[in-house]
Amino acid sequence: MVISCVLLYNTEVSELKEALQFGGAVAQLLNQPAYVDITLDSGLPLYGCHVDSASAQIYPVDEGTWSATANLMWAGELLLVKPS
Amino acid sequence: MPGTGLVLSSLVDAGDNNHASITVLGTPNGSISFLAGRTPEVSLASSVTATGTGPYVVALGNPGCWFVWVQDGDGESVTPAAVWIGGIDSILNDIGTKLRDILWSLAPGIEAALRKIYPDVTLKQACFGYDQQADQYPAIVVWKPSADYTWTTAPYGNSSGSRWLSRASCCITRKSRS
Repeated sequence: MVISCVLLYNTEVSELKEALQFGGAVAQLLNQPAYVDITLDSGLPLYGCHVDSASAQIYPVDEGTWSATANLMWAGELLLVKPS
Repeated sequence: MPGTGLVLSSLVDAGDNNHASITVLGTPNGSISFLAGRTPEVSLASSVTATGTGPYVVALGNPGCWFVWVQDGDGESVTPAAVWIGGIDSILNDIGTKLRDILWSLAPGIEAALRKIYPDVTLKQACFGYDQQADQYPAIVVWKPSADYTWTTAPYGNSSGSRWLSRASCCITRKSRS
């Protein structure tokens, strides 16, 4: 699953530092132990969930509008469980 | 035990993200019951509740792939049948929705990090879907990896814009509008 963390600017941006800080914060929070094993609303459990890589890009959006986006790759595994 | 002579002739998703409908061929030795598991190893399977008398309806509990065995007084079938409960997209949608909810619950922590850069900032949105669904920023978009998703202009493209930004699922490309 790809998670995009998007900042929007009304001026031209030329560095990715802030987007990476945004994405890095999200990655750190999602990689906390509380979110390694999660259960979907359907009851299906996932395990080993984590963000394992990130990249950032600057997009020229429109005349005078720019975005800086950090893209996080999130992965999780379906848990093989016995039915209850 | 030699194994039952019963055969699972049909095993289909009942369409409610929980149950499967089963048709069995053969004459049972005693009562019929079913085992289900996530892998094709009967030692890892468990009994599941069945109702009906053919077709039987078994409760599997949640979506995804299930292997099912039929058993009677002679034991269980040697080879399981498999069924996928729910659509593949439905699981991906469940995951995306869950991630969106987690991220939104984490908003105060994300804002605390952003305020190291922008003192008064608030996280405006956490979305599951495509870029178009984010219209206030800073925003987080959990991308919907739909199996039938092809192309979309994103995130703010319009017919008069000088550029298009396009994405296909997890791939990001950018091209000049011709």
